[in-house]
Amino acid sequence: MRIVIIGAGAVGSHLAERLSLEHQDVVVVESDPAAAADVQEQIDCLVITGNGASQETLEQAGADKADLFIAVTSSDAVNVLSAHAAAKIGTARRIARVEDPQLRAGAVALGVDLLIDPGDATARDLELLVRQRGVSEMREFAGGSLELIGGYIGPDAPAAGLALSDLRQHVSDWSWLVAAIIRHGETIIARGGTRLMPGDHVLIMVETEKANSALDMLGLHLEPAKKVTILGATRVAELTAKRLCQQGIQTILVDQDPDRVRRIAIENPRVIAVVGDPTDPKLFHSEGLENSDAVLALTGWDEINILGSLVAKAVGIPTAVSRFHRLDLVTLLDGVGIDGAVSSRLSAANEILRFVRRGRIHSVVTFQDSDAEALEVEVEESSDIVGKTLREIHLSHDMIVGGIVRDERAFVPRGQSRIQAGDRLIIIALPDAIHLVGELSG
Amino acid sequence: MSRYRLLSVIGAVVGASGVAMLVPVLVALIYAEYSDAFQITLAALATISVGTAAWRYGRSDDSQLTVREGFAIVGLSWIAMTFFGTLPYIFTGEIASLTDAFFETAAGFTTTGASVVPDPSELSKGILLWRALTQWMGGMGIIVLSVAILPMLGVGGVELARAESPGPKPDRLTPRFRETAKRLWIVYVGFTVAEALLLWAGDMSLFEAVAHAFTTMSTGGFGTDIRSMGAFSAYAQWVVIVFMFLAGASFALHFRALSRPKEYLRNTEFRLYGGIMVVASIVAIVGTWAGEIGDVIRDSVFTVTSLVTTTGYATADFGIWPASLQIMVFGLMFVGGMAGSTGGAMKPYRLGVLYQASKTDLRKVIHPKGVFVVRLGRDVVPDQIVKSVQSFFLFYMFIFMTGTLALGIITDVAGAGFDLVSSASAVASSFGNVGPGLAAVGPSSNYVLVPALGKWLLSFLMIVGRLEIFPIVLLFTRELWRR
Repeated sequence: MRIVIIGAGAVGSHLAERLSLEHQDVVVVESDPAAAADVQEQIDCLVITGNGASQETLEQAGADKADLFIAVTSSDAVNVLSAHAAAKIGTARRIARVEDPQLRAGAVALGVDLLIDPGDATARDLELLVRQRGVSEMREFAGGSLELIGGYIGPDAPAAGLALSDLRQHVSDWSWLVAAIIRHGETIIARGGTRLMPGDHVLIMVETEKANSALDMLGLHLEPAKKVTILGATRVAELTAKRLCQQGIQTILVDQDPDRVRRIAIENPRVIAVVGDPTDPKLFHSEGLENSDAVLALTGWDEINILGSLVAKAVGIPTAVSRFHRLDLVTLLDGVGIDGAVSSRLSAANEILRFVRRGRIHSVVTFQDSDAEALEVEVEESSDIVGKTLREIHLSHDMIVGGIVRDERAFVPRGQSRIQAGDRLIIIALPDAIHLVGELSG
Repeated sequence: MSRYRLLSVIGAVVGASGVAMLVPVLVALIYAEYSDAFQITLAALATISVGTAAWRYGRSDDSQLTVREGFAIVGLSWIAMTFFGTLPYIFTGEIASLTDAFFETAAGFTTTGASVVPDPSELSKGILLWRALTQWMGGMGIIVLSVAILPMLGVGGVELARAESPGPKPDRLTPRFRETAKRLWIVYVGFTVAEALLLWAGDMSLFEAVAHAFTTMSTGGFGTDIRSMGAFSAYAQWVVIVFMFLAGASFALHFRALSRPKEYLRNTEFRLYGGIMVVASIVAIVGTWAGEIGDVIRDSVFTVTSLVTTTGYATADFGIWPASLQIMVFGLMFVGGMAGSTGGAMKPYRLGVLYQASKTDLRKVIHPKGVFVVRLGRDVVPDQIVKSVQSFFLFYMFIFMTGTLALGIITDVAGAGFDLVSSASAVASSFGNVGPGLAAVGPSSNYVLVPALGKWLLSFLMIVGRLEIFPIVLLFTRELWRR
């Protein structure tokens, strides 16, 4: 599949990397020669230096024969304009990043199939995290009857130090499964012999109704936040604050810039906007932020976000989620106390990948500190695996079936579960195995 | 500050009020009051010639008016206008003393409706109409009228209107202010005609209907009978209630609502204005519950509407209501109609902003470094307006208290000896352009008993209140007169 990406910024280069790892033909168009050279050096793709909105550049990039066109420069106008140009020369599907909500309706009329807004996608992810405080990840499948939950194993968790096969003996009602473990930045698909260590970041599939017993084993406690402090007055911060207020969560936003804070105070009546240094412990004290349930560090600087999160933890706020631009930092910071990480590029990539995988694959989830994906695929009558049990299939070691959706019911499978035509499988897979997922469906 | 231009604009405004005196001349002729007609004509001619002379003498340059010139012009025009407005009373001898005539004219132009005439029905028709007409002109603002119809005032019209219009910010309906002024006057005239016709259809004569329409739409309150509106049928009273309510609402809002009626409910100040009225009416109904229920409801609603809109008509004597209700009556004298209406006093908009600003200050105690924005409904109130509203409130209270003290001293020295309720309510009522007060100046009596110096004080307070303090207070600051 040929994919043209306009703009090699944070979102663009991440997508290019991601898609090229999956053996797609990626063409990146970037106007800044330096940024273009960077991409060329790091990613296996074709890079063209030029204006993505010009027809000439697009033809050079082969956009007329491309299956997918993704415009993710920092300018709404360039994105819409280039998507329009791509529509005219005949690209099959077009995605554009548009942040201004007032432009959205018009952009669709100009031939954009999917509009993405990384800031809004991040805010949505944050809202989920805050509502289910205590976990790093929370994704719903099959209309909410299955959940994929991420969390860090605490030192006193009952499961700590046990191999998964041993853990199984302690549990009678099997309604959950450890899908993957992220340890020191490496993602491991879980097997029976895999041992859980304190500090591991685990991804587990649970049947929502019985989620609590699983969470207890891992030492995780869900508790919706009632009071949240947001550090930073960025666009993501504002969008998140807006969402939290709509959920009835008391939201306090802190930033140093009085003008930005004032603007946010004017536009969001329910947000309490405070001017001050978000890394100053005294401010946490004088403004009464210590009794917040969570702190979200969403300034534009990774350093301030990390420092702010650590200060928040130090003054006693139980949960800290930080926003990162440099994703390599996320894995390095394992164990320093930051409970979750978000990044706009990942949230945007999620949305786009979901769209890329359209067809037999119904939904896709990506994670903050792992390149594994969770995909939902439908098994057709013609597939080889129909009628076999999971044990008989001999799946690649880089993927695991975490859930099966059958008719209106969804469950976590065991080795002897038998696959039927029309089932939807929820598969957690490493990037190397993603192209194999499609083969399962037949 | 160009004194020539000051003189010229003031001359024009005085001249315009002189032209208005020709209307009562016509009425006097119709009712065969030939001597009055002659005397009022003389008054009109005197006023017109002085005004024209000043206008001609001062007319020199056409440069843009500055804000402070606007304020000075409005303040001085109103004082000059009130002096010349006394001429019909004095020339005809209906109100012979300058003090009483000035009081009556001030109560007219400022739409206060306080009176020193023992029985209005003894006045001639010509003078009665002049009385009503002063209120009608003062209601929407004679300067706004001048802006609308006199091209020579075109430049700087906004500065003048800003100083004259009730409320903290004049509402613009059109890009050009003169067009806005015209539209406001069209709505005003339209409502006045409608009310006059409805009243005429009831038990009022055409003359009474027109006079009452003039004084209702301006929230003035001058009547033609000693019993005020109590002299007319229940039907007439309900009509007046409706039009008082309309007159106390913003005319710019009326204009917008002509095409989109939902605008009323979307307007926060309107909801506040209506809400105060409904709650106060219910309290009054419960508090006076006795006898004929229809009368109780009508009297309560009438009194509350009349006080909140600062009209000042009376049907019931609220001086004999229970003491607790009289306290409410006193409080309602401070509310007033909406910004951009013809009503006086503090305006629900300002009360709302004050309330919200105090709430914001309370939140600041909890979050000392928080940035809080004052809002009224969905609208953000800019800090500058919050500050001006707060200082308006301080000025208002300060003037009310010193005025009460001064009136107390004056009445004591003159031997009339007003008690606190009489002094305070007389000042609150005059300052808020309401009309009747409580006790010695209650609805069943009038301002005849106030000593001469007290009348001057109250007349002055009426003008200060009508122009919302600043244009008049500024006249006494040195900065205004500096080059």
